[in-house]
Amino acid sequence: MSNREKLHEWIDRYNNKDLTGDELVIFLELMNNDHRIREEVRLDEELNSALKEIEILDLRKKIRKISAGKQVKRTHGKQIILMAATLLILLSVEGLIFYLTHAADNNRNPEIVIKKRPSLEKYGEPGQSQWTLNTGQQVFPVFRDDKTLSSAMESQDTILSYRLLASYQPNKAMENLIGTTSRSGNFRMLKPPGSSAFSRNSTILFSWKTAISEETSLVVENNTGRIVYESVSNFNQSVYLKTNFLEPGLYYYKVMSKDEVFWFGKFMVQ
Amino acid sequence: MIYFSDEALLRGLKNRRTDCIRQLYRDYFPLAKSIVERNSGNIQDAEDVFQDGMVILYEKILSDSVSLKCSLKTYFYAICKNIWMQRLDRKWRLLYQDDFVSEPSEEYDPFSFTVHEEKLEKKRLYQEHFLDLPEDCQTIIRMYLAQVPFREIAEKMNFKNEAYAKTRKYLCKNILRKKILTDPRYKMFIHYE
Repeated sequence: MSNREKLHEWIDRYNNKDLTGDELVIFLELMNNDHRIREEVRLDEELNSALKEIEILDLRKKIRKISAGKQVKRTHGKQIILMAATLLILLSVEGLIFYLTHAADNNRNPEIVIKKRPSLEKYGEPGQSQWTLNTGQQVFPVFRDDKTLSSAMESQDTILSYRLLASYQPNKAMENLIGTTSRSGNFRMLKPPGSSAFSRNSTILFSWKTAISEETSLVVENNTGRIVYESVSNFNQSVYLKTNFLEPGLYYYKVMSKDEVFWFGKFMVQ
Repeated sequence: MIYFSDEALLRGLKNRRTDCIRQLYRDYFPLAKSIVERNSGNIQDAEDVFQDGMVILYEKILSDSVSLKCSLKTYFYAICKNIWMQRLDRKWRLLYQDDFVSEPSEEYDPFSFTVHEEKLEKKRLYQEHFLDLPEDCQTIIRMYLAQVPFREIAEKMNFKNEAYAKTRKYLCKNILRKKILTDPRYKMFIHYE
């Protein structure tokens, strides 16, 4: 038995009033000289007194058990609330992302992005039938024999179809000027007729007539306003334009002198 | 679900019936919680106050000193408020005794309770740590305090001999002592000489 163990045995015996004779004298002297032993004796006495209360210990045990059960329920409740809140936040974030994505889509220029898959439609009498490309928003005339476009449509090549369509989108600013002339009766556009469509390997004759002979030129722009062709300024009043260098799409042209635009027109390359 | 009247609850608590204790906890713990949380305490303080309140009520029932002139709920509320106010006062004095010379505050005592709050808390500390001991340690200490001879303890616990039973008792009590002495709450009870 260690000294420590022996000391505690003496403390037990002192508190149980079992220490007698010389042992009691020695222990009292030890207590008088060492406050730590006095503290140990006091703690042991209080402990014995508290632990003898069997009924109260039993009562505390039951309260603790009930309280622990309620705490677990409270914790579970909090966890459920936390999970629900997390779920709600995730749904809100997802909803916000969805909304922003679609809002961004709606704000895009509808002339550039065509979401609906276009369809190729036929109309007119047999033998004189024509084809159109229907985007759901606008209808464009199509030469049925144009292999590029029709093969794109038939092969379900969506990207190519959409790109082609984008190049057919009318330019609103230019559309408003079509057919206008700054010289009224003094200028006449002879060829091509308004809004003609040409195949890609053809030659277009542009010809016009002015009252006074002067230097004129032809400028051709695509539907985004980029100049794709500009003729040399001369007195000829006609230009032959080969379409093989032009991508299929909608084009605008203007006949102009050095500082004046006489005529606006458009044509299509299929 | 059975709902006990005040009288039935008192009778049930006297016999420490679990269903009565459960109803008391369900109905009265929110009272203790509101008192404590409104007066700078937390949920753990509320649990302690509720437990101490139950012990006081139980002791009063055992000593037949409960005379209800109001509802049991009001009575229990007064007990808990009394405990918590005294506890706050004691902790305040412990913290600021060097800075202030203050008289103990007037006791909140609408029912003339005498609550030895400090003694109550100390006892709870000892009993809580005891209940946290392993089951076999609790049994050995219980038997020892009931003055069961070590020889008999050794037999009941299937120990090889009396000496081993003594050693086990020493070890169990030592674990308990250490748990108490290292508990920060215990330091508030040390009165330096």
